[in-house]
Amino acid sequence: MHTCHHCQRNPLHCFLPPHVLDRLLNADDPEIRRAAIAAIKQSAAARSLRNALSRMPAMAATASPAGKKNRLVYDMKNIDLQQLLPGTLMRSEGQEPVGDEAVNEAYDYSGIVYDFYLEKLNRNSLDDRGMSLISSVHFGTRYNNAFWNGEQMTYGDGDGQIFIRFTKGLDVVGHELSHGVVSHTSNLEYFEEPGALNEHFADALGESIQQWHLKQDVTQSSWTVGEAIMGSGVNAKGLRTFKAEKAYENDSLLGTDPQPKHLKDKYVGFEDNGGVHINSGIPNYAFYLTAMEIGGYVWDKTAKIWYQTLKNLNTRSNFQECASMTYQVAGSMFGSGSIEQQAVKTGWDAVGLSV
Amino acid sequence: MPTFWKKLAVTISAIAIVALLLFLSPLRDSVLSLGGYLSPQSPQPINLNSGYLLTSEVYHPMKVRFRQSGGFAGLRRGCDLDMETLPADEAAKLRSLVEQSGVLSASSSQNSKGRDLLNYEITVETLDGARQVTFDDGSKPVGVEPLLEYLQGQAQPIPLR
Ligand SMILES: [Zn+2]
Repeated sequence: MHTCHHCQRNPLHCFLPPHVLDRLLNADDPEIRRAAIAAIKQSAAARSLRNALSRMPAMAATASPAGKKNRLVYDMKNIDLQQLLPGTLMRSEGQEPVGDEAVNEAYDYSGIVYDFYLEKLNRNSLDDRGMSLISSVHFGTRYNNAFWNGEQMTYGDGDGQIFIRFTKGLDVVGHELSHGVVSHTSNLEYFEEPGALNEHFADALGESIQQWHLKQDVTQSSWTVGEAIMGSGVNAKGLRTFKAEKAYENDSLLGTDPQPKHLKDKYVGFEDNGGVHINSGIPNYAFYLTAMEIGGYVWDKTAKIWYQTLKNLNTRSNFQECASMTYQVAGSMFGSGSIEQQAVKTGWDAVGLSV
Repeated sequence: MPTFWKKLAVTISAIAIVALLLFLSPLRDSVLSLGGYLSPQSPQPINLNSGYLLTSEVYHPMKVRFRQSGGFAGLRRGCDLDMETLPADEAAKLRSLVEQSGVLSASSSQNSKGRDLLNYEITVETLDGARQVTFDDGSKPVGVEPLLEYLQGQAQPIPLR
């Protein structure tokens, strides 16, 4: 009876073997692809589908052949099933640009991120062992998000109104890849203060990568996250700002930027894993103030202090431990009582954390 | 002591009578569903096709509260829909989407490896109580998509405080 009921509602999945579904998912006609996706989504077998589809490469095979820069960019062709990541391979390391700008942006920007970590922080890819950088573009239809699934980056195209394609922002790509670096270092748990620190390190390193690429000193940068991916229907400086200001206010689609800049305004609710994308505003502001105090290029000193701190922290580290660690690291890097160490203290003092 | 035994006897008879009446009544399925609301861990799935709880033949109001948070952007969006105030066709559509989504029997889940995934919270309130389920883009219950798409279409920015 149960099976019958499902067949009535979703006739496709009842009689289509996986290799046929696979072909439908790769069809040129978007309508056919949509029907195939709908069929799979209704299927109780969706969870085990990846195993059934032969074309999917093993996710474990992320080690790079030569242990150095190895980028692979895939196309999800508007499918929004995580079980089907990474999708169809469109461009791999050393290959010429293709006709799809999202593929080329994911390729170019993940290359810049790799170069930054190697040249400025002496880190060989996300795991420091040269792991491959895997990106999937065109995830879903009008999908307003980008995420790190634990093994790779995934980018939506945006709906055009709120966001455009997420590959367009180097700070976005830098943010997603830095989540990979975080999971291979302190592995801050994604909840409450450690989660907000996870978000903070992704933002701070992503921002540093963008400033490095644009050769901006700290006074030249706008210190916003995501300005390149904002859609035509919103009025915003970006998605987030490191400064003591709001990235957007009373926007009909975005609402008002919720990020606090001081510990006393910390969000303590349950949403967003305990406010990980909200409370990151607090350490983000301390990072910005420290960088402004130190001056020059953010990657020369401030980002180095923060990167070493990230490696010293653990899964449960909170704001206070992070603040104290940056102070300690700055002391050992630049000397106790140095201008740099004082700058770190100034930054954290302003958000209500004394070191 | 006699008062105690008298009270006990009355209570037992009352329970027995109510149970018998409920077993025979058309409300049986919705009462059985109540068990599901009260104990989310219950292995017994709620019968969504009972016809008593969810169809419009017997009038049962339903409220749906939707909250979306997280994602790269960390935007907080949501909507509160009350079938009593919705136009009849919208109310019927929402009722059917809720019925088909399985949210009333789905258990909350979270993808532990993902970062910047969108988080969702759906609360369905009926006369029988409120049922809340939370999940993210890496742990969507099978079948929830059409309801989720509908709710996302209705969602507006929601201020934090
Ligand atoms: Zn993030």
